[in-house]
Amino acid sequence: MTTLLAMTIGTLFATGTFLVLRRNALKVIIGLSLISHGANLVLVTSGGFAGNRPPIIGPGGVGYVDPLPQALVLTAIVISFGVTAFMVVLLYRLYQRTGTVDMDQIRRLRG
Amino acid sequence: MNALVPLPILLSLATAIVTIFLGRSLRGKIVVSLGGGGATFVTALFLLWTVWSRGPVVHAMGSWPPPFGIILVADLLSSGIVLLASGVAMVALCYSVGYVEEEGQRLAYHPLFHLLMMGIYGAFLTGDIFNLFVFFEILLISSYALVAFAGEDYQLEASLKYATINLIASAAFLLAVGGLYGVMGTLNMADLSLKIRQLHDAGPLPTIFLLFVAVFGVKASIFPFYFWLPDAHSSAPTPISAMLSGILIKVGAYSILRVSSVIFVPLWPDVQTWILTLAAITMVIGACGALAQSDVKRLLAYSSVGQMGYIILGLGIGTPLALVSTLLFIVNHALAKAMLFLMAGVVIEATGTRDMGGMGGLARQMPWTAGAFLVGVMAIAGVPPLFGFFAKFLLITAAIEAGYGFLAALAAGLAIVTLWYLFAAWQQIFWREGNGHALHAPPRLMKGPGFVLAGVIVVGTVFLNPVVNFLRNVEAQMRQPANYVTAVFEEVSHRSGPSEESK
Repeated sequence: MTTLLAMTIGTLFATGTFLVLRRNALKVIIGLSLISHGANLVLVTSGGFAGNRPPIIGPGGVGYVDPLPQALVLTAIVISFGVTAFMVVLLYRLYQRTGTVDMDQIRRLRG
Repeated sequence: MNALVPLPILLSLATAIVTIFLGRSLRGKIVVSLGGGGATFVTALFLLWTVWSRGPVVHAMGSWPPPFGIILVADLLSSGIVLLASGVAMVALCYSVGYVEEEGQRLAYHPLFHLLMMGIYGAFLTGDIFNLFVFFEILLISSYALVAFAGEDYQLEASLKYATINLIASAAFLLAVGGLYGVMGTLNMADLSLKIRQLHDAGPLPTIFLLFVAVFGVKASIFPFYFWLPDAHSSAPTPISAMLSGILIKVGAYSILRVSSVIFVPLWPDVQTWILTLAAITMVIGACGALAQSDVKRLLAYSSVGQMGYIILGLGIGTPLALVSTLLFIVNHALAKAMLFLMAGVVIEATGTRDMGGMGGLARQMPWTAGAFLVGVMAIAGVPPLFGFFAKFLLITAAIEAGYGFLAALAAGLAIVTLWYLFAAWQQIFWREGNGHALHAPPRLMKGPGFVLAGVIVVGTVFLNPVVNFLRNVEAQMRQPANYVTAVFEEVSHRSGPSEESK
């Protein structure tokens, strides 16, 4: 399980970093949300995520995982969703005004 | 008494909500907004006074005892900086009423401003690492919106860049939080402080500490994370530039100060060299960048980068004297840079250009503005009568005492560069032969607030001794994280004790 999670986290960060380095600002935003997902997954894993155990104490008090990281991740997901939505709006506004989402061209228009 | 601690945060939130629901009534929004800002300032004064007379005050949110619930802690450092922030915010708010166009004020300006303040107060007061992350996000998303507020192309682009770098920083913050929680099993700062002391093997903690420094470094704009700052701070509406440069970058410095003085105390030697190196490079980059600018707001923004270098340098040296100088720098830069941005806004409004080449000779038409700008220039550059000088003097003395001769020489050399570019800017704007263009008279509400800050700087200089004594006390309290920890856990015993109701 740990290996699988580690590989998933690595793939998310690698793909995200690749996309963030693109010139197309929309791809940058998608890359950013992939990186956030990678970070969220790290946070879940830090609580000893095991896949089939619930985050509440069951009968006998055995076989549960730490619920705190999952609560933190919920918060983090909501925040990253909000920020991503804001960035998409910002980019759309920029696209309306400049007619492009290419960061190099946007910078050139600015002079 | 404990309910006083969350009050600045709640007041800002309440003001933001009320201003949203006031609809399009301009007068109502301004009254509520200024009233909320003023009330927060008074609360912050009262909070500082309480902390001064009784020691650190702790509030457990929702009555969940630490380390399980989120706690807010006001010690001298956090309540002092909350007072500083609320004072500068009040000045910037008054300025906004005259500066931001009416339509903007009818829409979302006031709610966003107070949400920004809520995030700032929260980040200063919280005693929980993840809660710090949440308040960071609140202040950041409000500041993205405020930077892009007027909707010009360059503002949208600056805001996009600012949001991108900070979203990556947020992901890194989560990584650091995940790592810290994985190793320590708690995120409460006081609890972490206790547990790290008992740890025999640091394991990955130095890396995690460095990751925290990098994350806060993005907010504090230290090298190599400074490049978003000149764009974001110069593109934002002027009162927001003043808030960003005056207060918001201090949130990063404050957080580094907080985690290194409370949590990662035993690990300090591992990262000290990193912090010192980055601080030195930041100072050089800021000074060199500012030399090359002809746009007055970009010049001030680059100067902020350089001054953050000084602040982080004092923090990196870490001796009591160096920390006092860092605190003095924070106060000095918050007041003086905010004032310079506000005055630059007045000048830009009057001349209609941001290019210093297109100004000149304004001292004759606007002598008071020129005088106030000069006070700010002297405070930042550290010209003797003002307390910017004492900050630099203490820092250089501390560096020599601690055996960092090279850094002391660098700081002194760059102080001369700072003096040069700031006076060159003042001379270009106000002194040389004017080009005789007619000036627009800026609204009176735009001029007043800057004079208030200039007055505070002058008064602060006159009462330098009490100010430095106060900062020495702040530093002494910071040096004893045990006080912080005891205050937090006493909260538990108070709550279970019978005296809870009377408290």
